[in-house]
Amino acid sequence: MDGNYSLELPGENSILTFSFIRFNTKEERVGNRQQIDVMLEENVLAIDEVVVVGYGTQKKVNLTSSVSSVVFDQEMDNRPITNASQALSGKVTGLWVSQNSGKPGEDGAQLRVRGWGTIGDNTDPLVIIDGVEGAFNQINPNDIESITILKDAASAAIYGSKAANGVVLITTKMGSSNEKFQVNLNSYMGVQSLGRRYNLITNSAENMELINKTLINDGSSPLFPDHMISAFRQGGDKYKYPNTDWFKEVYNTTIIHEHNLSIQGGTQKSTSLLSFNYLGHDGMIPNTSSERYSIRANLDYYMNSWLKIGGRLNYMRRTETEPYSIDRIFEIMRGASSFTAPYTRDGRFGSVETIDENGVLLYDNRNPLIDAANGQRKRTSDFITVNAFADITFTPDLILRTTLSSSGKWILSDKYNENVYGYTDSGIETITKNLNREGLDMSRRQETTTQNTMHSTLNYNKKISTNHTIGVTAGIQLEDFNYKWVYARRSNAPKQGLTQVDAGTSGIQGEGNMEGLRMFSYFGRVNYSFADKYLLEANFRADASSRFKKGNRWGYFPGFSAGWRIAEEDFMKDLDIFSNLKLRASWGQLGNQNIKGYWPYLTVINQSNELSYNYGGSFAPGAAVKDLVDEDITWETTTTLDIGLDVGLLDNRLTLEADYFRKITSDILVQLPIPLMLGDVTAPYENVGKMLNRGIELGINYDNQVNSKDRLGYSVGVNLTHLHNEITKFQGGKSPDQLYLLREGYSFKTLYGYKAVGIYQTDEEAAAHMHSNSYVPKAGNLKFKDVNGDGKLGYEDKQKMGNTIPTFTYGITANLRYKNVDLSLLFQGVANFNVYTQNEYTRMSYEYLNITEKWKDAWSPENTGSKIPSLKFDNSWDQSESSFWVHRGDFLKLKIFS
Amino acid sequence: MKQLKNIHYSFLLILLISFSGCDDFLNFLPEDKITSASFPENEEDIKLLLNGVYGQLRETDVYNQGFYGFGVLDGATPNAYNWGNGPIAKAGNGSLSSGDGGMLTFRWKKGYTIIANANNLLKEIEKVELPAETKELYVGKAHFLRGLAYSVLVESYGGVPLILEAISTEEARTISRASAEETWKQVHDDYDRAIARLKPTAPEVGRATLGAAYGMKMRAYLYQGKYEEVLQMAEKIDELGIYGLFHSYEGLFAAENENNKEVLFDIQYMEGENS
Repeated sequence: MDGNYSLELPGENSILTFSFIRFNTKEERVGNRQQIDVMLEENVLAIDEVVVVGYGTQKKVNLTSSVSSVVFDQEMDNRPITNASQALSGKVTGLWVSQNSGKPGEDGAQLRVRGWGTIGDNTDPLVIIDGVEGAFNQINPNDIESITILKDAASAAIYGSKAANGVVLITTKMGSSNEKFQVNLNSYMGVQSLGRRYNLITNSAENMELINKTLINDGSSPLFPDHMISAFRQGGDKYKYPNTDWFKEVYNTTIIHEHNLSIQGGTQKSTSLLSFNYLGHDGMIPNTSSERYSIRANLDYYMNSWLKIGGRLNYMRRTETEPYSIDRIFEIMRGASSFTAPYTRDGRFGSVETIDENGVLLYDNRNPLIDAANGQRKRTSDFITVNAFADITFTPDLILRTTLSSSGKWILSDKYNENVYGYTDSGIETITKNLNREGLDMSRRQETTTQNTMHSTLNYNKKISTNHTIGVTAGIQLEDFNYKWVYARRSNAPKQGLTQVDAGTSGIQGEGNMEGLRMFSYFGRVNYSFADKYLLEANFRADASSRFKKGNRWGYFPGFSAGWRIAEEDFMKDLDIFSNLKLRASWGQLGNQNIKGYWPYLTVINQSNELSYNYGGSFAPGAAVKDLVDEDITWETTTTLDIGLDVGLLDNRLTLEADYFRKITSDILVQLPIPLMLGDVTAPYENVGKMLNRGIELGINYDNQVNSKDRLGYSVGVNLTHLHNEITKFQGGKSPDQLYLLREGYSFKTLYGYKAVGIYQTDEEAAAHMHSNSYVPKAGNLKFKDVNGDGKLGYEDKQKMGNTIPTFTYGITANLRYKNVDLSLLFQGVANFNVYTQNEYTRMSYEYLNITEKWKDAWSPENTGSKIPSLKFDNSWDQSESSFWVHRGDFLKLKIFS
Repeated sequence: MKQLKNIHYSFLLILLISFSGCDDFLNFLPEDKITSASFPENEEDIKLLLNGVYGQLRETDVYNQGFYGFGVLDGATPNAYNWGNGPIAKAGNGSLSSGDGGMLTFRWKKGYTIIANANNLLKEIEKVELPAETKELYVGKAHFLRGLAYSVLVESYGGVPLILEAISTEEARTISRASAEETWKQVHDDYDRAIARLKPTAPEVGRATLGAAYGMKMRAYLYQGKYEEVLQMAEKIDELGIYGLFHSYEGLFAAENENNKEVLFDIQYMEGENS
């Protein structure tokens, strides 16, 4: 068939319809054309859609476990993201994506698959890039072809002891056979600015009046004299009477730009992809920036009918520059009040301008721009990943694939600080509080991480007879991870501006160490389908890890799933409603071996000066055990049950996916309190905790599947996840009270404190309510609920104030295509969760004279209707952990692309 | 084709066989700290443990510490008002309770740290090959220090739980207090074991000697109020012929008169960068 055709048509207005199975139907109006050539596009929602799963691929219709897939098509490529993890938000059920920082180079998002799996810090999912473990910040987002998320135990069991928090599989782009070479050049330029900020009082006169009022309330005398306040109120000269809005001064609007060039294509014998990428990102805070360069080369070569070899090479270099201590910028900003000027009239850094007639500064200098100009920390990271693999086809049914991979990460981090001063308008030289308290030093830290993996799988797929199809995968994997680092530092260089460590003359410090992990595993999977209707799958993995004691090293992780393609049953086919109807269920166990350190089972005999002695003046080193250890420590295990239904209607224009999941994590590491009789030792971590995550995921999508340019094509999708999280076993229910509570029966990090029910209007009311309390509150203090009615505020009065894990996460995607316009909308939202907002900005603290606008409405005998307590500095009663500071954090975000 | 298949099957087999010897591969240990994987191995290691126990005798802070004596007694003077409602003031006005922490918890914790470290030494010394005499000396010193700890504990708290060997966290939760009688008995038991093993002189200044053990035993009798036994012990110390009164009482407190002949046992301190 060469595709030529000829037809006789009645007239110009005839419409020719071209259709072919698995391809999108195309319609063309004839008009006055004599020749109409048409190219059909593959239907992305085709029945034969293939999804990447652990160590292989599977047809989507045959999946029996809970797997979600995101294809990085052109729409995704056009999104302004600097790290691929940011692109997943709102697209997939069961996944919560939250970006917690905008810092250049470190703005990847945090991913949580189906809730929080454990109590410690090890809740990140396993990220696999092209079959080998990797990380989101090591891959250029433009190189990604698709991402698959393995959410339940059956799909992830094949990754065993690293998979308890879900697995994210990333596949990179590749050319196709006999494809003409395509060159793609993408450039992107965008601006970044700070979104919401604290509502601080920026009028200095108001600020100073409030401070004086608070001091008087506290029984002290006012700090700022009246003539100073009126001078500031009259203002005029912004250098002498500043009214600084620090968020505006410190956070600038900056530019991000990215350029990506990719070349892909293939001949009959080989396919390849070559890509180059540059990302430049200036940070919003002065003197912060990051640059990223990356190169990728993917090559597959079909040597002959039974051998295919290929390689994936990725190199990335990232440089990040920032001031000596960003933490100090944030710290000083908390106390940066409006009466401090950012600059002086001659361009130097400014200082506090509340100076009395004797030249005494009435507050210290809190100018964060000084800390933003202090020294530098420069970090250069080089990542290189090399994968090489060979596929040997013994028979069309039996294929052996071996992959060798090596990746290295080298980070060089240089730091030094400088003396920076701020000047008042009258010329007094000042520094910010505690600036460079330990003198000037310079240091260098070098880290080298290497990871070598080898895995080999044997795949066998056979259709035994018309009704029975069987597939088997078996494999082994070997891993060696090593981390080495060295640090050198000296202080007191003879002259400012010398930044290399050798320049220092004292304070010599040197450190260096090594850590590592080695693993060996067996894994396998069996798929069986009967009549393409009844599907069964079993997964298994056995892992041995150097992290555990000899004899305790092996862990076994099974997974089973089954599915019933109801739509293929004859009775369903007769009804002709459903294009797809599949019921599936799965159960499996996964492990989390990312527990404390690399040798948590070894008792360390600590040797230090503190533990040593001396005899007659000569030093005698001593050692003792300071941390108790459970020798039998083992990984945490997650058992997941999942039941799901996939529905397709109207020829798959309307699809629905619903899942119920129940995830129990057991053997969570917890430090149980120990009696002091064991000496001055820290308690051992023992596997005694348990956590439950259960919920429902729902995804509905409608696509009218019209792809011709002349008609409106659209698709709308909604995804929703409901999650219930609960700690089911932890310290026997007797864990200590804390603001972010960890206790049996409560969700992880529930907010816990007193319930604020109002404000005391009179001293007598307060004394009557808190009659037995040692501290007696006064009029204007917050009134807390006395749950047990004993007139005292004690731990019995504390209760649950809110949950920090959202109950609902949802996303709505909409896409419109008409002629040459392509518009995409993405809504991402969370509902029913709370945040605790007490911090140095929002409370009244004498150390941090930043005041938010809400305090202008504070309670006073003249303003008794207010809900804000009276103005007092550092009042420990009002600053108790209470529901006054708890707010709903629900949000809905809209992103528009075209 | 068949030949190729055979080659590949055998290659796989070799791979599988080689990995059955993977246990060594997984035996990967840290190289920057002493861990139970390679400890104890010889006398040096036991010496480290002994020095660790001695090291606990040292104090570096005035306020919340106080293993000996009465800690900060400012609370018992008119200065008490300055200490608010903290443990120091409470120690002065007699309302100190076990929830107050500070010096009270410190002394308990310190005593038990010495006991736990000494018990650990007694356990670990069994794992090392040592000549009998050397072993006895170490065991003697461990008992001496353990006895010292128990004597401080019983003077301050009365009867305390008696822990005589390394115990697990589970066991520690169920153990209970012994009576004061029993605790004093344990103190003397430990001192006696020390006396049986220690020599009149020690290889290094500051280490426990026979005289030190006699002296501490005498002190224990003093605190128990058994004055007859006190005199008997005093006789025994005299018999050693090493100790005598220093000529100047004032001179006892001068740094240059460290470790003079009046001293039976003292705690060694050293000057250095962090002193």
